Formats: sequence, C-alpha cells, structure tokens
Amino acid sequence: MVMETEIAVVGAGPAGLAAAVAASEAGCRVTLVDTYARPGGQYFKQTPAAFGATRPQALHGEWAKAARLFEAVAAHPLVSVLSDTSVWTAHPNADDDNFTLYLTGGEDGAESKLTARKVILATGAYDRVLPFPGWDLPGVLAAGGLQSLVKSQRVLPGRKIVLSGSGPFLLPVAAGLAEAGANLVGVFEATRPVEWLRWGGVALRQWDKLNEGRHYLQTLRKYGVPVRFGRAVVAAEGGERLERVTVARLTSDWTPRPDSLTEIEADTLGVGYGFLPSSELALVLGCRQRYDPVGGAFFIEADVAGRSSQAGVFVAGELSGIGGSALALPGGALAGLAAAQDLGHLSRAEQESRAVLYRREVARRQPFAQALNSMFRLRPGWQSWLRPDTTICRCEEVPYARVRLALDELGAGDVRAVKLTTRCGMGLCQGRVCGHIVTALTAQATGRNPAQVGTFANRPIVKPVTLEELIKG
Amino acid sequence: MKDLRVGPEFERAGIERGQSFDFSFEGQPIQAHPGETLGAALTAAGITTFRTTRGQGRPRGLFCGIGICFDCLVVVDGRPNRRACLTPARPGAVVRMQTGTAEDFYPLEETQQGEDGSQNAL
Repeated sequence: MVMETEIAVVGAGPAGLAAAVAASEAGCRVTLVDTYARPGGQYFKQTPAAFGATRPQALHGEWAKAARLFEAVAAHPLVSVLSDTSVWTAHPNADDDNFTLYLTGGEDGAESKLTARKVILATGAYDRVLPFPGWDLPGVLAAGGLQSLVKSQRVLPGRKIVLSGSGPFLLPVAAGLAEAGANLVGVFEATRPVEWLRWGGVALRQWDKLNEGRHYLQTLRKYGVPVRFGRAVVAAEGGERLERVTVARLTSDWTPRPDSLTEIEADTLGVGYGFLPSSELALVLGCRQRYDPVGGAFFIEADVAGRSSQAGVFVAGELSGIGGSALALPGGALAGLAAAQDLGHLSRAEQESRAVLYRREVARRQPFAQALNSMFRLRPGWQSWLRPDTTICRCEEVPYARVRLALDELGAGDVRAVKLTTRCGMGLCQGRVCGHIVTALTAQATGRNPAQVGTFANRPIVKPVTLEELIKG
Repeated sequence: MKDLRVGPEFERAGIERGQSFDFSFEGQPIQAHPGETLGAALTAAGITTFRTTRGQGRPRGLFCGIGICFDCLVVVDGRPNRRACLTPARPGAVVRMQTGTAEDFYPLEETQQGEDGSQNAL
C-alpha cells in the first residue's frame, strides 16, 4: 500500500508532536509515524491504554503540555497518526522532489510506503552508557530503560537498585523509582556540584528547571535515598545476574581514587551518561552531521528552523543537539512552520509572526542546555575502568583487549579500521551502543579528535525487517 | 514473594490493570496483564535472563529497554529475534529463551538441492 502526505513527521515525542501541531494548524496535511502504541516518545511516555490510568498527570510534572499536544494531534482533521509503525528506510525520489518512507508495522505488521513532500525527523535520543567490567550482566540497564519500566509499565526493575552516571536525567529516574516504592540504595553522580559553579549564572536564569531539580532532590531526601557526587559505579559482579557493584570516588577526570572502592549489594543497576541522538534515518536521507565536542557526540547539522543540509528534510529535538523537551517543543514547532512555509501554506510574514515566540523560547533555553552539556560532559578517565576482558561491543562480544590489539599493534587509525579488525559495531544494534565508545577509544589511542576518527558507517536499513518486506519494498 | 509490579499503596496514577492471563516462558507459566510487554511481565516475575549470547553463551536480558540494543531477544511462538521490551504479552504465547543465533528455530532442514549442488532454504 502506498500512502501520500504533504509532511511526514517521524517520531511522536515532544518535538514530533509540536511539529505536527504547528504544521497542521498552518494548513498542511501531516502524517505522524511512531514506533510505539501511544504517542509521547520517551519524555511524555504514557502507560498502556489497557491500564486505564485515571490520573496520568501524577506520573509526569509536565502532563498538561503533553495532554494538549495529544489532543491537538488527535483532533486535527489534517493529521493522521500511524502508531506501532517504524520507518525502516527512506530516500529522496529520483524523479521529483518528494521522499519515500518505507514502513513496517510493529513486530508483525504489514509493510507499506509513504510518500511525502517534506520530512521532519524527530527520532529522539537514547541513553549513552559507558562500559565497565560486568556492564553486560542481566540486571544492568540503561537509566532510560529502567525509567520506562517504572513510568510506563509500572514494574520495578529489581529489589535493590543503584543508579550511576552523570547528568540531570538521573534525578527524575531516581525520584520516580522512590515514589513507586522501589528500594533505591544509592544514586551516584560522577560530577561534583563545585565543578558546576562556572555555569551558575546561566542556571539562575532558568528558575523553573532549577526548581524541578530541587523538587527531585527533596523527594529523594523524603524517601531516604542517598545521593553522592564525584562517585560512580566502576565495576559490577554477579553470576546469572547482577549481585554487587563497586563504587569509586573519582578524580575530576573520572579516574577512580586509590583506596576509594566500596562494594554495594544490588540486583539492579541503572546507568546513564547523557544521551545520543537517533540519527540513523537522517543519515540515510543524506543529512550532514558534525561532531560537538561539548556534547561529545555527532549531531545532525541544522539551522534554528531545523533545516538540514538535505533539501526538504528537517530535524527537530535531540537530533541536532541534546536539549530536552524545553528545546524540543519550540524547535519542533519551528520545523513545522518552516516546512509549511516551504510548501506555500504560509507566507514568509505569516511564518515569521508565528515563529517569533518559539524562536525567543529557543534563544532563552539554548544557553542552559549548553551549560548542562558542559557541566556533565564525559571526562576521559572512564577509560581506566576497563579491564582486558571488559566487553566493548555487546552484540559481537568483543573484549577491550581485542580493541587495544587493533589500536596498539595492528595500527588501526580510525573507527572503520577498528570495526573491520574487531567486529565492534557489526552486530544487531548496528553500533548504536558501542559506537561512541569505539570513537572515544580510537581518538585517545591515535591522538586525533573524534571528528577525525569518525563513526561507524551508517546502514541503509535502520530497523529490522523481514526478507519478505525487503523483497516487496 | 510478591511480584515486582508497583503496589496499590504506591499507585498514584489510578491504574487498574485488566484481568490477568498466562503465557509460558521456558515452559513455566508467567502472569501478565493486558498492555504489558513480555519484558515487563518477565521482570515482574523476577526473571532477568532472556537469552544467551552466541559466542560465550553469556546471559543477557533487558538493557536499553526501548528497542535500540537488541539484547532482550526471545523466541515467541517459534519466531526468533522478538524484542521482549517492545513485544506485548499475549494469552497463551509460548516464549522461549533465545540461544545463540536462535538457529534451533530456523527450519534449515527443509532445504532443496540446487542444480549446482547449492542448498536453498525453502
């Protein structure tokens, strides 16, 4: 089946929802494609419909914003939503300026195509996890996955839980666990507040966000959850599953201080060191990316309206830089308005007048997002947590020793060479989990910067499909 | 021991799960409620190993929890490579741990011999 639309929006998180609403209100026909059963993405993630939540606002501080967007999308006659549907590849058409998106419906669903005049990618981000001995044991989860279990499925991940990592996201995850009755025995943040002082001035101008942080800390204090700074889980042990973690006090570059190691019993560990953008589809469509040294990752190049280097393709939300919903909401709206203008539904003046408030919001929020990314940037000392048998590529079971061999003995000078000599990144996750790790290790070993050593090559198929779907495609 | 679902004393969202049903995991009955994923229902039952790796046979389970990492693969009703974190639990489903590349579950014995002697799976 081939469907046709004016604007295809991929991803129904804050950015995608805001884009769909702004574009449809400007008179565009919009098709919103989303992998999950209910809109919201990760940030506005809902409980399953069958749970019949009567007070969903109790699980989310910004529920009112989410509910307004869900309603606007559901009610607008120009928006159609394809839930439980993933885009597994896409291309600009050879014979016109349109795009073709190849869809697969959920795990068992039917295949179809969507042609669109403009594409807005709002595919979001996923947890960045640093490796350490034992991080591949069952019971060790990405912080976002752990939150998703609690917030959406309403299941606790274990009976004795530790959180470790860096960044403002650890606090809401911890607070959500505590409020759900979890036995959370410790939260370990690798940076220290004294290191944040440089950015204090910027932070003080974001009173709402500071207040949110204070609220989470109060919740954790109320439930007696200890929050420790300048510390991280640097090793995990267990048999069939996690049994204990090793926590170290860290120097300012995240090297464990000698004699600072303590063991804590735990059956569950959540780990998160910020986020990485889900750029696969943008790269398949030919959008250029750039390395951001502060974010410590490659992001899609885009202007303030989300226009990428590929004509007709817009990106919104985390794809062009990690900024959370505070930036994703106005950024998504700006992309929707820009696409509407390009399609002739808005004059330049109309577009300008609708965009002005969103632009102001982006300008107000951007410095804070940058400050957070600086405060919680990765420090290179994490590489000292690795042992020769520590898994680097989880899919292909590649130990650190083999990566070192490639870098030190075989002369691998870039990420591609490491991949070819070790199989890192050749597995089912397509390098989403270990890509940033291999880039960092290669940069360190070669003395080049991450932009020079690069990333794993992008694959033309971004989601798993059956051979049947490929043949029909 | 009590399962790991968030208890009613902590439930602030007014959630009322529907009538529970069973699916099987490695032959054991596992309770689930409508809307739950296989990953959540197994986690609630205290099960954390969903598959073993093809190289060293190491246990793996939920990791990213959002469909990115492919560590939580299980075999559902004979179909391998299902992500437990995304796949809804269904009444009566037969779920197995995925071992290695799940080669046990591909019908490779049903092959035909080509004229050049090559083997093609049907």
